[in-house]
Amino acid sequence: MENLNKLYPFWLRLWHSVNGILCVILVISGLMMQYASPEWILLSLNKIVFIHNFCGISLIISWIFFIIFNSLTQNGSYYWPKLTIFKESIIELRYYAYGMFKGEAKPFKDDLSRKFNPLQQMAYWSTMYIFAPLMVFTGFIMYNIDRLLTDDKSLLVYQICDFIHICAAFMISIFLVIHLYLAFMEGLNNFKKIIFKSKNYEEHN
Amino acid sequence: MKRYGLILICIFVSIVSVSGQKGRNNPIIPENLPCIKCHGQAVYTTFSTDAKKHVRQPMETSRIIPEKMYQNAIHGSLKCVDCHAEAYSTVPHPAALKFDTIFSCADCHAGKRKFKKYHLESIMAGYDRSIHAKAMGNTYSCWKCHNPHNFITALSDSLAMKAAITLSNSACLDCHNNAVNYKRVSDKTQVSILKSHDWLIHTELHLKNIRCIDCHTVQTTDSTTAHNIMPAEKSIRECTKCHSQKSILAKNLFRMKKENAGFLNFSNNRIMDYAFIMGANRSITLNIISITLFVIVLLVIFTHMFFLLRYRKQHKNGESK
Repeated sequence: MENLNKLYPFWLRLWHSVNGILCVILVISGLMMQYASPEWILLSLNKIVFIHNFCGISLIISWIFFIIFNSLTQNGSYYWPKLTIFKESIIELRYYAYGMFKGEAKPFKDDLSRKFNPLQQMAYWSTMYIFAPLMVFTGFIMYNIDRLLTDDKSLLVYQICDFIHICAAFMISIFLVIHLYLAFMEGLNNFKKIIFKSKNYEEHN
Repeated sequence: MKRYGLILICIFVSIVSVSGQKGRNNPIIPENLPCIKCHGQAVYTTFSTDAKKHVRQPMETSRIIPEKMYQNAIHGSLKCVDCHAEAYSTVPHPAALKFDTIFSCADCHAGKRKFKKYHLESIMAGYDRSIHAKAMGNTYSCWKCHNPHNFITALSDSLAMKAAITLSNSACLDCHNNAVNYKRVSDKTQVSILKSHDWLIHTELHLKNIRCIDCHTVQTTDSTTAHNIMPAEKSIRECTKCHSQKSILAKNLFRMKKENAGFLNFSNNRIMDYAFIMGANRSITLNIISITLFVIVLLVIFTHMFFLLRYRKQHKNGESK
């Protein structure tokens, strides 16, 4: 129980829930903007853009909150991969593709010294420290386009920002799908364990 | 001094508004030189019979026709007296000329084979259905919006897109963003353009980068309907008319631009040299790549899920035995 609280403190669970909801809304509203059509209108584009902007700004705040708390607590250290990450990832990948169907034990157990397996570490690190900042930065520029971009090169800058924004959004969408599947795969019990602090957590570890 | 300053600013704006064009550069017509001498500048000199000396007078803004501007205009090859009465050759002009009938476009262009390409009949038909015709009837004329002395056809005169849009919008904004001019044609109070369009996201960006007529006229592929100005409440308010694959801007405003899909194969790419419109400009190549990747990820997930559930079922059965 004590370990669980250290690995998944309240602020982290709160951030995770808010971040997850915001990401889902942003992906859906982003798709509705990208594929806008007069033929299928659930909401007016104006409202969709408002929702997207609102959630985008909230995501920036949420991301800053995450970065600050990560730097103030031990949680940040779990994300940064070591040089052995690629070698370890192959071991973990082999486990997911083969070992788990043979009843093998997990190659990397989560405890206070290591919260994430190498694949999780790579995915979380790249999402939070590469794709999320790219999204936030390019989104912020596009949101303030009329204030920030006023010269002749602004169109090119906008097009590059849009390209990066959409590519990063796609990567985060892929991450979301895999993340949800892995959560499902780990089982509802694990989900409950993380959310509701299952009493059996320490027995398992 | 302040007055002259304002006049000079107006002349400058007029010149700048047409400076984006390549220019027809019509030759100077000698018969026009006496007119240009006074009307080509903000101040003219005339002889005062009362003071018995030459005096400098400010030229009324609407009557200032800079020589270069006129040379570049579509009518720049005409003599002044082709449209204005011969009596204007007398200086000072006789007062009675103030009430002289002014030619309209139709007086010269209607029903003539040479001018068929201008579709004047359908322009007039469009105008007759417009809010301008309904609100003002016969008191309204082509010249209320189009200045014959600097008139150029915005899109077909190979103007840079920005200049074409500015020029097109200046016809509307001369009244709709100018309380004094607005009062000359309407008893209503002019409402701030920014305020009446504040429902638009990035209002200023929209107002600067598309033409008023793109939303305020009946949209068809025939550009001549651009004169059927709709009342504000009937104008386009649905964002997806432009922000979608079937963007009306690609068919109207950007119809003269060449297609250049590029290696990412963008839809409605003829817009992209000037703007990038969410929903309208989408890379078909990236779409195919992303959908393919997404399907592969889903296939991997479902395959993994299938084997995992089968393994768990077998494992559970083994345990229960």
